[in-house]
Amino acid sequence: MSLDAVLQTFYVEAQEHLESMENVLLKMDEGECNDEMLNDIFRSAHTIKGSAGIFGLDHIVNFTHVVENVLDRARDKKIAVEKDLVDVIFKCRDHIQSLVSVNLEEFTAQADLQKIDKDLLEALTPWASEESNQAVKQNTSPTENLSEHKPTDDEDNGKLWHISLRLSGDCLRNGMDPLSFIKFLTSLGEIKHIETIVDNFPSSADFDAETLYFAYEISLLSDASLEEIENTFMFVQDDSDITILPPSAKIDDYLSLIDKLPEENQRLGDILVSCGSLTKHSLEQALISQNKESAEAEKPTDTHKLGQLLTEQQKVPEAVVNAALSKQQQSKSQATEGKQIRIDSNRLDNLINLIGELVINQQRIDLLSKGSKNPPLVEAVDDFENFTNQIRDAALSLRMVPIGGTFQRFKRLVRDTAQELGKEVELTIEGADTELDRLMVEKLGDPLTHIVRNAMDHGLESIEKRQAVGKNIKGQLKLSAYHEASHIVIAISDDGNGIDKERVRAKAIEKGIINSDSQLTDNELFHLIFHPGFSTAAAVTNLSGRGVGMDVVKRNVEALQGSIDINSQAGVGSEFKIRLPLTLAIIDGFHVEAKGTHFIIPQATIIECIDLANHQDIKARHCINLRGDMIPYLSMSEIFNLTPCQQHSIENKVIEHEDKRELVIVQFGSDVAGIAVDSLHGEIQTVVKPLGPIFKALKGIGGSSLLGNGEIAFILDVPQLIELAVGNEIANKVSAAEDISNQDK
Amino acid sequence: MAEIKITQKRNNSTEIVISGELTIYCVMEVFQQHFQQINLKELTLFKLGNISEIDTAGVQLLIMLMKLVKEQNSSYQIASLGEALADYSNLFQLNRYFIDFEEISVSTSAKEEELQ
Amino acid sequence: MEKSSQFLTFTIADEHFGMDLHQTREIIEYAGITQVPLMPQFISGVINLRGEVVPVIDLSVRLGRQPITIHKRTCVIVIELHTSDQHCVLGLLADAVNEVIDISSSNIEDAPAFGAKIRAEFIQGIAKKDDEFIVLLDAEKTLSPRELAHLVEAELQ
Repeated sequence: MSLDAVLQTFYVEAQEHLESMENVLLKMDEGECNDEMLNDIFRSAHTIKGSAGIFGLDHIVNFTHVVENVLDRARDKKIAVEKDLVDVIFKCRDHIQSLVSVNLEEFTAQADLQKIDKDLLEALTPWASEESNQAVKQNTSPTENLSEHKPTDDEDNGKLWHISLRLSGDCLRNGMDPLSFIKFLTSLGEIKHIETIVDNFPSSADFDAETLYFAYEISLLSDASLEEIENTFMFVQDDSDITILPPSAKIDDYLSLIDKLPEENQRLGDILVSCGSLTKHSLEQALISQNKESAEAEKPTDTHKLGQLLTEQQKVPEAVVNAALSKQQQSKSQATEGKQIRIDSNRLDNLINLIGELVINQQRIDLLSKGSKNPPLVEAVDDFENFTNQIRDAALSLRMVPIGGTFQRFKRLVRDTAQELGKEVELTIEGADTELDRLMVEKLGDPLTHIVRNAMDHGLESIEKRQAVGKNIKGQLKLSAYHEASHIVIAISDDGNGIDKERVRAKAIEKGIINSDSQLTDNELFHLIFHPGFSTAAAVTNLSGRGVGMDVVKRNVEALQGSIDINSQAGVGSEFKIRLPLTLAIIDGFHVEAKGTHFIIPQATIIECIDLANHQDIKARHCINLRGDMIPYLSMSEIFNLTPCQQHSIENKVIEHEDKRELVIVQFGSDVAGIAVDSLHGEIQTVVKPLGPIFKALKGIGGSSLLGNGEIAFILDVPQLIELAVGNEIANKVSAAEDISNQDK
Repeated sequence: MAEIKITQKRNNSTEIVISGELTIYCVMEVFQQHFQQINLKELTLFKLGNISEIDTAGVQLLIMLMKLVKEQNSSYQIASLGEALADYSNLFQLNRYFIDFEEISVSTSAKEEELQ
Repeated sequence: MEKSSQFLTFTIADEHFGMDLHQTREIIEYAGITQVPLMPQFISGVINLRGEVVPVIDLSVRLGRQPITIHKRTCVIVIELHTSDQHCVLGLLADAVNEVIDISSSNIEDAPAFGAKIRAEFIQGIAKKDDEFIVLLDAEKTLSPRELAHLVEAELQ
């Protein structure tokens, strides 16, 4: 791992801690505050400070130390947690976030960051301890007392690195001999001391001669860079625990190392002392303070409450509970560590792609097996299909994440925006568990942000206005998500003013988007706001931009193969609904054919399939009577203007097709319609292959797919298809009317 | 492939002579064949002067043998070290385990503490 | 120093064309095509290229001529374009693919101001080889995905 990669990890983890701090602060904002929260937020700050220290990111260490000090006093009940403090801590958290993304050099170069730093440190003084304030005033780093530089820098001012190696037991087996690494290190500098740790040797009965039991603590005098030293161990870094402490590392870092390593603390301390990396005295001091701290930390949560409950009900004596609790906490902290792992998203995408290809391949095999007339083979291939499906579903589910994470971020946005606008807004979140494709989550952020800001800025009225019309002064904003068919629907609703139809209309006319005598339905009017260059904001605020946002929102949503709908009522409120397919990667579909062109209709939209021949077609109206209901239908070949010569073979033969005789009944929204095709070919899972930017304007088709025999089928976008059909019908009526009026002349 | 010669001597000592290449390629076999079931006398004498080549697996084996000696309440001496092992020992600063015969009187007791 | 570039030359209806070799990915035999509904004529359809769905353009129509006639030797030239915002793979129908030739920039003449029957911006230049004129096409302009998309959009309205 290069230094960049390691810093990246620091950054990612710091972000997580910062997020956790924000969540706690948001709760505190709403008046909630308890020991657990204070401990959590303290620990987050403490961890960020510690990690920053290892990387020499002093600007973060110095600032966070003061914040940590204040939080420590808060959890020790030395100061009260009031709104003022929460506000300041909020700002401090934000500042730490800025600090985390710059290095020390950049920080010293940025005057505005330094000013914020200084201002916030000053703001914290009423709550910070005396020593802390003294230290800040004197501009000394408060951490200097705690973390002296190692007192054993070499006389010739060389750079003393400490390398801790816990290599995987399989190293020797895999051909990696520590001998070569150590030899290489000698080419980078001088090994001042190397301690070979034999503690891990098993008894002779359990000895496996090919397993590596040695561990090493090395003190290396070298001018090499961290990267060069790290690269020494490039080939064994997977499965191995390698810690490299640079010459600037502080005592705290060695303590962290001792903490981290499996061997007993005292023993490790001794080893480090013999390596010359620590002095005996500093080791003793540090261990004492660390033991004190660890005793105070980590109160278990659920188990703690359970214990309390049990004791209260007097079912179990307190002493027994406490003993059990402490034991349980040990094992719990080990157990929870296994519950989540980080995956490189590229690897996941790669896996999904491969599974997609697997699915295609499986279908080819399926086709071939069915043609083989070999029953055992057919059966085996069927089983294979079953497993392929399961793998596919499992893999896809890896990509699904609950939308709650995205919604959660809006809490902060709403709070800040409300403050900025001087409005009071209450945000309700529903359906946070609803899952969607991870890729979409990333792309949804911006559109959602824009709509939310828009709702808050333009939709929700000011406090006075709301009072005047008798509404609750707190504006209601709701983010909700739910599944519908094979889609996820995300709705943003507000109880504000609603969209002013007249103003929209006027603006559209002014911008030349519509004519003054255009007749538009409410829906069409609302959709005008998605037109590029449209903005009705009397005052363009910097919040929602210059009206260039809405058309980008629509485009972003469409890029995800989704659609957006608006509902609004004057004086009551508005609702924006975004509908997105559940996943872009693989869909369950139904393979049909019309005039030689193959289509796939998404399974989720299909209600049933019927044989047209058996049903009465009400002539000229393209409707059928299905068990008493009148269902309109459209003809695939008509809508798409398909002609029998769709497939050019090399010999240019015309391929004959039977006329439409199957009807697929589909639903879209709350409506139902039929699609007439020539033949049905059964269920199919397919990998969605986008058609590409050239075909973007094509309505009714949302992608392509490869059939088992290699042919290309088009995936139907049912809502668009209906739109297309309706559009055609209107156009036909219009031209028919024109023809008639022309004839009359 | 290393050659192992184990002699149980009449003066209550076990002599272990290891020659040739003691490396990852043969350590498993060597240990299983010769040392897994070994019974050691009160003193174990290691003659390692003829080890032509040694790697970490080989050194591990030797350390394991020394622990085995301890397990069986015996003590050990190194009668000869050889260049290959001496080089490795120097690089890894393992000298306290591999001290040549001349120094045994001073270091045996110290070594026993080390292997605690 | 003379700059020399390599061009892949091909023939459509007895006219010779060339394209920068860097942008051509491969040449395959025509083995059928799947038409995409409602498309303008210059889009012949799509093909399955080892699992990738690739659009195929009838260059002849694109250049304002008659559609190409498919015959036994028709081939598809697969082009890969890297424009600032996208990476696009397209196929072109050709009657025959000829050789790759080296043309130094001094031997490339500007397109005639008028009378060439092809839009000027499509033409990178005209070269001459063995007494024949080769129209060197600018792939990025001729096959710009953005422009093609606009044309499709226009057709569909």
